[in-house]
Amino acid sequence: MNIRGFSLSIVNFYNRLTGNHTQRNHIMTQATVTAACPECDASVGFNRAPLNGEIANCTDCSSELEVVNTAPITLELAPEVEEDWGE
Amino acid sequence: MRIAMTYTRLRTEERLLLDAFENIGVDVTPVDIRGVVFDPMDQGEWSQYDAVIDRSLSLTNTLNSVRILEGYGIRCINPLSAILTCSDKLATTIALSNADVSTPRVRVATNAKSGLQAVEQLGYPAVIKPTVGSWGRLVARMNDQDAAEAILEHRETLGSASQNVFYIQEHIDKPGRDIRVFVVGGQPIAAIARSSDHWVTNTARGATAQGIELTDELRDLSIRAVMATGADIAAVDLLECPIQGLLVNELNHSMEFRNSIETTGVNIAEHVARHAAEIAEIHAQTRTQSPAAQLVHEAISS
Repeated sequence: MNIRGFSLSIVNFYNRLTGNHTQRNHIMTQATVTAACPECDASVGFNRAPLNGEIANCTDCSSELEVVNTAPITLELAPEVEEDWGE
Repeated sequence: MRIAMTYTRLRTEERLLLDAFENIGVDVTPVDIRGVVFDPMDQGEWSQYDAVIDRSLSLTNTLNSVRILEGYGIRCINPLSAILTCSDKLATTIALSNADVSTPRVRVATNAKSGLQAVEQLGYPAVIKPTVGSWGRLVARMNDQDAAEAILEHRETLGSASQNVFYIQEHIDKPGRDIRVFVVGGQPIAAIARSSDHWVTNTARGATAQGIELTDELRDLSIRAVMATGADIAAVDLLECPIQGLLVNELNHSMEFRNSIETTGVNIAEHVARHAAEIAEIHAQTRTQSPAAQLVHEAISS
């Protein structure tokens, strides 16, 4: 499967689960995508379209960030480790 | 054949797994479990999947989602029974002990007073751990009675109900490192040593990982430990005791491996993806059979 097809299947699955059709086909249209760091407003880059829940680090302020929306890409500070997290 | 990968946070491991599935040509759908509403009585969209590999960071989400998915008849990797055993240190101790796998001695108590008796049965120093937890969180070494009394009282007074299980383990005087063996499909595929100046040797606590040879003893112990839990995929943590030899300390059902691929030269993600695909393929062929027939089919195929 190519990357675009793979990513679109993700979006379609998400849309089916949530009933959200506004995000369709909105990813993988460019090689690099960016979003603003919610802490320092610096530009945070991804070398491919991120998925919900993806973790990124701001190179300016070192905040650990989480993708909370993919269309448009929206970042929030990643939550602290919780009691039941682990491997 | 189709696979879903459930997750709560898409870390490096999950990205590596998605890439590995794609590289071997397997159709995989990542599902952020936090956005899903399950109907336990109707599998709905989930019916399209032959297997689900769980990569949730939250054990609570893992247990609930895997319980529901298995209720749908979907093969989960790892199975719920294996997750329940690996995620709870007491359950792991019992499983290893019943399978005659060497493991550190443990005592379990229900309050601070009996906890102190438990420590004194094992001798100082002793280690207290939450039965559920990772990355060395809230693990404490009690070097003497003063320390034990303080830690036990704090746990009893300040801890949540889950921390009022006093799981106390003998302290193993390991040589500044522990060993982790990655086991996929019953086969050890790689081993690392995690070294630190601190007595806690989790990489999450700053230990450094280095690939080591998989000896026959490591292979044997790891295979038997994983068999004791029924896990498809697990990381087995072992301690080198100068008196008792190798001991299995714990197992991890949703292992982290980002720092172990380069150090071991083994593409762990690809091994996991291939094994998950094999399981899904078998399950795809047997989904219409009864659970008993599926187990027989899997046993014959493995």
